[in-house]
Amino acid sequence: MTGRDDIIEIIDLSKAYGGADALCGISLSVRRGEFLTLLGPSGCGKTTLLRCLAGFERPGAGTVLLDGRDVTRLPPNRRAVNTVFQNYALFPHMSVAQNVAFGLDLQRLPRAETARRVNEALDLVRLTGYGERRPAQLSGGQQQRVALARALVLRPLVLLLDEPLSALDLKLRKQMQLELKELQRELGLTFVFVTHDQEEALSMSDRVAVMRDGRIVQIGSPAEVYERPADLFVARFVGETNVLDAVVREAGPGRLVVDVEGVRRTVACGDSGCLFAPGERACIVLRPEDMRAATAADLAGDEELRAALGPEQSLRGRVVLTTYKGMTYDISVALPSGRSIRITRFFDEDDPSVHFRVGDEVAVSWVAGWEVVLPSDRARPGDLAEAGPAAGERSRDDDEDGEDGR
Amino acid sequence: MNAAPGRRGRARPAFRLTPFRLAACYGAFAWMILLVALPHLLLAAASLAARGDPGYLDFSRLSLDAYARLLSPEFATVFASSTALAGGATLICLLLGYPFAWILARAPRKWRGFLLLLTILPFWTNSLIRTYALIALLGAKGLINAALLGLGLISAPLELLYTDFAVFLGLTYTLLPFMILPLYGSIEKLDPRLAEAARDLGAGRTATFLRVSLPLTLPGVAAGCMFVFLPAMGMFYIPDVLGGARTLLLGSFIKAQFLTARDWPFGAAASVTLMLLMAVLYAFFVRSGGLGAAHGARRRAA
Repeated sequence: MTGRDDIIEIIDLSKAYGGADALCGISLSVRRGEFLTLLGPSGCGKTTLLRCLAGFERPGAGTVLLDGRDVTRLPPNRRAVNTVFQNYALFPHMSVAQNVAFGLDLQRLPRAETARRVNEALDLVRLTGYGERRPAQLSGGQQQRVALARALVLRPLVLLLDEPLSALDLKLRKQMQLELKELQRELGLTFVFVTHDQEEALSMSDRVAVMRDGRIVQIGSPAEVYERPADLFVARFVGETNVLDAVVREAGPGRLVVDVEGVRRTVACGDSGCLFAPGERACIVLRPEDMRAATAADLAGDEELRAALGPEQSLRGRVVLTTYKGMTYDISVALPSGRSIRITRFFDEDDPSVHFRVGDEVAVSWVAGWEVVLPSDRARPGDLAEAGPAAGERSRDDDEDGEDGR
Repeated sequence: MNAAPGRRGRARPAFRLTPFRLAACYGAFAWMILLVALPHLLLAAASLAARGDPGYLDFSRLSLDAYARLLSPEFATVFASSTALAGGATLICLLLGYPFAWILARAPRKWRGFLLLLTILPFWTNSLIRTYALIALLGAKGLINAALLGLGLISAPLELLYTDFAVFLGLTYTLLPFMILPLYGSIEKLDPRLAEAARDLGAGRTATFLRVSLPLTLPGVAAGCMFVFLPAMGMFYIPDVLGGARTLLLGSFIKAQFLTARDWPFGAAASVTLMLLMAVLYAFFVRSGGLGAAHGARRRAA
């Protein structure tokens, strides 16, 4: 694990607040030049972890190595990392240029050198000519850029970003996501980015570390985390998910035969197949966009569709809701078991019209092999309630005071 | 709210003058004119009059004589010693009050109300009585001397009461809350993340305080200094009670002109001068952008 490629190495880091564990034995390596995102719901410890990297928090136990050096006990001003704060934390009594020059002034650089680097940094974030303004005269997006310039001008080894986009409106946030990613690639700088927005995490990161209750649940590329979630928490938190209960009938190498919603199907289960025994409960995790649905009329007229959605492999259900989303079209289908699943369809030239109506009886299936089989979490019924709203609705900024019990 | 913190606030609904509002406005204006503006004009007029027998004032011979007499070395001494004492008390109040207000503002939220209450608790007792209580502490047979004698640290009682030191102590003691409250206000509004940002950018504790925390709490410092310095200049009962007859401060000087010397024009002129001084200080405070900076800091934190 250790290597010169790791700019940050976190070894067994723990931190408790008033008896409650905020971080429990976190170990994590950040590679030089990568964009790593810490993703998780409020209170999962992601901000605390970032603050331990910045030096604002002293961990109770564990070590933080920065570029091979132990910085665990160093104060923030003696670490070669810089932070972009959630609400930017620009100094209101200074101009934009003075804000950006703040760190350089402390290093007592020659005045000309400081001025040159401040201008460079402002150019970099496309705020050329804004140096004399006050932070209060700038828009939210511009303030965000000043905060970025102020941190980047010091050429940190790692840039830490604490939910930097959460105060921006949706359109601006999308734009800043692109800009940040571009900037990171251009500078070849290591970014550690904290967010509770899974879409943001997936679209920007090289790797995503999903956190829960002070632990890292899964770490991997966005595709790995989305397509191969390590457990139901990750599956539900990252992206929209349908989870079906199943009972294992036969377990073979790489495949399982399961009963799901009254239908017997063979599912792929990767390496974890051997973990299941016949008779055991399992969960089938399906992404809405991997699902297919068809009415009886559709099936009657289409040979190919009948092959994919035949009665022996399809679930039966009734459409309870249709949602037009512009690029996609979502339908919710109630299964006989009472469970509701969501199916997303993309408009394309083969299927330019949508024809599902509430009340339609439909056959439902999915692309074979695209399912993920996970151990049932019946022992933890709270999962769904916890992950549901965070994954589904992410327009609002979380209460930051509540975050991590600060 | 969080979309564009930089923009000016939302438009206010148009102000409508209801009969109640009209009455309240007129009431306030009448109050200010009758009880503030008129007396001050009378005072200014008195400062231009000459001493006379009926009612101590003679308005038939207006002159700037009283102001000319303020230039005398005698008054200059009074003015200088007043300024020194008030300035010293202000400085000590600031040095004591700033850390105090800081601790107060950074205390756990549930404690803050109680600690603030303790700060203003002395106001529940009449300040004249509290000043007399200081006599019991400072006197030759007071608590301090008794304790020091008892411990064998001194052999004869220290002369504490009826000195400039006693006046200074009295001023500091009485006016300290007036320093703490505005400081508390501006420190509480200070976003702790700004200090974190400064630390993150390489500033040590001292640099963080001098470059970020102090500049952003300067409005509180200015307001607190004004609230302490101006009353300290004019307060007469503390020098009267604790300083005895030996210390003559501006406040007691003015009081003496009116009540003892019966020289109303001179007392009025000194009074007007003191007021002008306050006005100049206030203008300086406003010009320093104090209120504006405080406003900015608060909006950043919101």
